[in-house]
Amino acid sequence: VMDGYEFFEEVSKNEGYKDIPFLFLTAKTTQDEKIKGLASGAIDYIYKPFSIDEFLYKVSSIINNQNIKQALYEKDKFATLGMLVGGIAHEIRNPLSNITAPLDYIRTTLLEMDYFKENKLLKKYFGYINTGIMRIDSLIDNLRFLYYKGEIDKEELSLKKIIHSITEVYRGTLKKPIVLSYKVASEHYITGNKEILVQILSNLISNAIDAIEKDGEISVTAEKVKEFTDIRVRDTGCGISKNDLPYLFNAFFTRKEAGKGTGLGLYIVKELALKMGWEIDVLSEEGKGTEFVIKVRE
Amino acid sequence: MDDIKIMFIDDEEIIVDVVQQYFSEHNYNIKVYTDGEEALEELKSNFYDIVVADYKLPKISGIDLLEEAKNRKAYAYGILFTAYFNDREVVDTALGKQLVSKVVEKPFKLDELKAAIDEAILEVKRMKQEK
Repeated sequence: VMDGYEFFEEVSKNEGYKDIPFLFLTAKTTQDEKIKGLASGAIDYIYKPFSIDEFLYKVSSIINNQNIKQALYEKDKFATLGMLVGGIAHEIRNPLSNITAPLDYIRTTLLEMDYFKENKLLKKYFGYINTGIMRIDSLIDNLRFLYYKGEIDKEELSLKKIIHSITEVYRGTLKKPIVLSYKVASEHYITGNKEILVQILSNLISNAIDAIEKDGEISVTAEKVKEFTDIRVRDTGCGISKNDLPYLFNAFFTRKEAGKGTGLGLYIVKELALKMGWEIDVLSEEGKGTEFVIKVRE
Repeated sequence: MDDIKIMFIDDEEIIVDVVQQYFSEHNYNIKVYTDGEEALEELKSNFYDIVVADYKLPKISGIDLLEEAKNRKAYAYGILFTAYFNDREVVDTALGKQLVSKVVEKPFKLDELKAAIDEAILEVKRMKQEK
């Protein structure tokens, strides 16, 4: 036979149960007994005989407290993680440029020498290094925004200007026959942070490019739909399977081949959109293409 | 090439070091600065044919530096380098006010920068002949 105290003690030994709030139900009313229970970690007593209302009231207040505790814990965890990641991102950026500038000197100097000029292997390997560095760089760029602590400036943004320059930059990098076009009315403005919008659109466009295997089309459009401005990035690429759709915005979820995707792009897109108070939606059909919609409320 | 004076300004010591090394080896007459205000002081007393400046500098922005130097007719040809396309408006301002004739995107490669500077040198030489 085990009494309530012993039961509580046993249960509390288990790591998984030790944070569960414990209520003693008792007819014993001496001060000593009460202190004994509270001292061992119970949060309250209910004395017999009790009313069901009293019981429900106490339990619901405990649940409430527990939820707040959990939320604070999560918030704290996220803030700590954010600080850590932000700090690391910042700390990586500096040594990275200490690598790139001298490396560029070495590359340029070697490739200007007659002996190395025609060395295809050397060119290829410098290419590998460069690609790797660019990936680290863009990852850091993303994390920097994600965990940015300070006030985010908002301003009137001309969608046409921004979308025009982004598509122009990406058009210059295309290695596949992809038609990248945009359609935005010139008087189209939204309120938001420019760098965040640029980051979101860059991630979506670069995903769209990756989704197209051979040739295809990517279009970026913006239009007013009721109280929203809908910004759409549409591609005629491979699409996303129904099974994958629910996980699409999760951190570290990727279907790209190993070494190509970080699984952070869409997660960052979603987090940044939330930060701006924008909604994000995705429509996709396997083999046909994908469309992302950012809904900006005016 | 010694007759064409070039000034290069960036706040990152290592970039400045590498640029100085590379261009000196290729016989360019180049002077580098990490401090925008020091660079401006130098421009107040000496004329440069080409000024290459980063937009983001501590203390004084690349644009302000170029504007001040332009007012004093302290250089002939300006090149601005700037990170990515985020600074589009900065670029528009710099081009609009004719502070610079060319924009190089960051991160740049030395050979890209060299090509931009070579182009600037040709232009400067052409301007000198016209005079």
